Amino acid sequence: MSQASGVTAPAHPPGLEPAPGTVPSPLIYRRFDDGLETILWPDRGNPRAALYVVYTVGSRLELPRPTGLAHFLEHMMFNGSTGFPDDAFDRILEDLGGSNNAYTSEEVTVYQDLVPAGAIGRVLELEADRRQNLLIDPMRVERERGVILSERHASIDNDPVARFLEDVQSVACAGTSYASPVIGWRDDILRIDARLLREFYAEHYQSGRVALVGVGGIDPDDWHRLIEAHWRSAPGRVVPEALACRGPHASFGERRIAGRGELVAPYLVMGFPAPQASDPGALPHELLWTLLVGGVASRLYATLIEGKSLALDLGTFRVGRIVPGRMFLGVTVSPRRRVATVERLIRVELERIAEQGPTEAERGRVQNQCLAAHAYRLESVAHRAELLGRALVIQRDPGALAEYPLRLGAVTCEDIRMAARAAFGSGGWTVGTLHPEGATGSGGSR
Amino acid sequence: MTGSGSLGSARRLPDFTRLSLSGGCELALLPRPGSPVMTLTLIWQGGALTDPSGLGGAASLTAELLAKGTEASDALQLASRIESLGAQCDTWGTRETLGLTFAGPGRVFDRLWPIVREMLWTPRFDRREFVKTRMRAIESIQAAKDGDPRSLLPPYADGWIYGTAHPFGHPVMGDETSLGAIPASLMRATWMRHRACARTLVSVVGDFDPLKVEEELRALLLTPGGAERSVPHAPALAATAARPRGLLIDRPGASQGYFWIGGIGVDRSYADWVELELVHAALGGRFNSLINRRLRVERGLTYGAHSGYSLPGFPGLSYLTSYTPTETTAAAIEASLEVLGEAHEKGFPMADLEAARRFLKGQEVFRYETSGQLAAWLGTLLLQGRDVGEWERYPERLDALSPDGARQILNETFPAPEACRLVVIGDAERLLPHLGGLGEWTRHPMAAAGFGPWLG
Repeated sequence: MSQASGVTAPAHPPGLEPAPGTVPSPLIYRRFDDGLETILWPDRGNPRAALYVVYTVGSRLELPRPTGLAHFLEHMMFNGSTGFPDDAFDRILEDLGGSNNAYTSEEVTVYQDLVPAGAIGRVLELEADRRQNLLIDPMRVERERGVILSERHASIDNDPVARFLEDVQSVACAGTSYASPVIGWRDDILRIDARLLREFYAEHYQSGRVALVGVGGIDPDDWHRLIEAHWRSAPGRVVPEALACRGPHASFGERRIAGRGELVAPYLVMGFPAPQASDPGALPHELLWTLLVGGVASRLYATLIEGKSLALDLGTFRVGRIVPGRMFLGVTVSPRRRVATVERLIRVELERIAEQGPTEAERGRVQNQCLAAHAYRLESVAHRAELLGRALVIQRDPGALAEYPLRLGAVTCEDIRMAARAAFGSGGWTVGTLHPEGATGSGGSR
Repeated sequence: MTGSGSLGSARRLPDFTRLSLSGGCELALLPRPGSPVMTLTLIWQGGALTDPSGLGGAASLTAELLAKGTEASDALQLASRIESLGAQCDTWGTRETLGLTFAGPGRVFDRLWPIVREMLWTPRFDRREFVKTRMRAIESIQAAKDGDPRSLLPPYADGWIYGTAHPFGHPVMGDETSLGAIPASLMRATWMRHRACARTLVSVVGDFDPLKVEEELRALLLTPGGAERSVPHAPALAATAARPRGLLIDRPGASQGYFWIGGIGVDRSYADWVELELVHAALGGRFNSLINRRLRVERGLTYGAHSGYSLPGFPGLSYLTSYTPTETTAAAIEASLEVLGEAHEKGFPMADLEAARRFLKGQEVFRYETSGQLAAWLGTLLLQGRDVGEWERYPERLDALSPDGARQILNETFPAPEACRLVVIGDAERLLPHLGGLGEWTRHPMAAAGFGPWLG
């Protein structure tokens, strides 16, 4: 009926041993016949527990229905199920001394519960009930629509850069289900109703798309008993893989989009092909981007901000991990500088890394940075659950977490150079420039 | 990783050692055997309180420049030396402090200590770095005014309540004008003054040998005597009664009104600080708080509403804040004032107080989870001069607060609705017709330099 397997931790190469306690060993994994997956990282004596319920359901599954449906449904999950009507979920969770949150991306919806360890049973019960018996009351849908519109105003509509990035994503991912914003276009949010939400819920919120990730002071026997009691009493069904969802296509050459907005500082965004999380090239790709933008000494930070004062800030964001996706580099350009100058310098740096690769010293630096960042993240049950959920659902390799230091240590300069060639050497770029209103030419103002 | 401190049925606070060095240094050392991460935090009292008049942002800029090179290394070399170890260094200025945090794998601290020493004792304060850093700070403020307005309410509120001339009224980071007026020479002077401060507070969290770390810190912080030794204090407030009630920051085209409702609260000597935490958990400190329930859960007006307060050395602010589309902004402000008014008059329903109490007691274990959280907790403990014994009674004190006690605390720490001032960011033309019923408004363009009209 179920397959059980332990994922054991490997040995570590000299010089890169993680300190004691960082290795999740062993992880307790199970997959049931209805497709439900569970994974536990027990940590005896820890007074905290995290339960992350990861649904492989994101905005990419919305077509041909309105955009924003997956995110709207995430909000409705806090608006009552038959066992726990109205806002009982939040009330009970806070009564248990817990806190919770949730997020939706193009690929997943994650419900994050953090509670004192003793409360894990009640949380598994609450989560099971809303997976199986969600009530989608039209009155509450109307009220929640106001909440979501306010969220959209705050996070996107009143920020010209965020608005521009919606356009850039739709150009970069044109023709795929990754082209629309996760929160949805305003007109779509206005037309989503209880019927559409119920359909989407019935179709996708099936156990075949659920992974239960537990971390902290949870006894393995209790974990299995509670899952049997709450999740196995009303099994769902296996659902087909979302095969229709391809990532952004490789396009010919470059796609460019230019805009003007009410802002002082111009903005430049460049999107590049990025390997899917399960690709062996994903780790060198991570090191490549750490080398480019991770820290003050990174190449682009050192050139654009520290060296030439051309930019105020830079950062990256990612669209698509389960499939080959896009990595976007965003740069807030100094109001005194020209976007074109910044773009030219970035191109020089990208060409250089793709041709010559990193130095040994750089490789050592970014490996140490990534290893340290890994250790920081493993300090909290919340981050451990997030990383474990990603490893299982997105990377399809739960052992990746334990093996991270080992795999990191094995990445060579040549691997990083190859990652740079794949990202920068074969087209498929998207370049967006946002200029202040009234500026002349393709450059910045002033 | 082992769980740190087992709270709950057998509640025990994290164990740490507190000691004083000669010259006014206070240390808190918290060893966590097995932890891969180590955190060192150094705090000097002063911060924006020491900014000369008209030169707001000086302390904050000084902190940033500490990371921009030493005698031995220029800015990039210094960053590279730290990052190559997998470590990171954050510098910061607050209203009352200037500080540095180093975090990294415990095993690299042997190589990090000499770098810390260089940064403290031989900072470069290079003129070119100063000009660049200052320009970036000014341009970042200009750019922030184009972005999401949520982060901009606090500096406008500070100016509106304390007056922009008061050290608590100018933004810690400075503004476009004050930063431009800061001379390069002020950086070294500001740093010397802080380093000689009467109170330096240090916390260390991680897997370390306490004796060895104590020795490192003694060597690091040994100060020659004779320097200026005082902790700065904020002056009394000028009278504000004559001002209109509301400040409306005009951002044409904004589709929401972002609002802040509040006034002056209490300082860190306030004895009922545990109970105050409970009052805010009930009022606006969690999802099911009174304010979030009224605005979000019951009426769907906003994505989020919350309350907050601070306990600095000088009375801090107490406030409610949220945002909602322009058409409903006035209604949301009125609903918020109603919630505050009801709590002021009738106190909190017992069920809400109980729920908030259970929430805080359960959440306590999450306060002491990571090295960063423990370092922050120790920093607050040292800065507020609290004895850890006060924390030991935390759950008992939460249990003991009655609804009437909660009402009394709210009355003492949060102005009544009619005494609260208001700050709103949004499209003034579209907002003003609805806001009239709430009192007189001063209108000010967001595009103008600074954070509100000059108020002495």
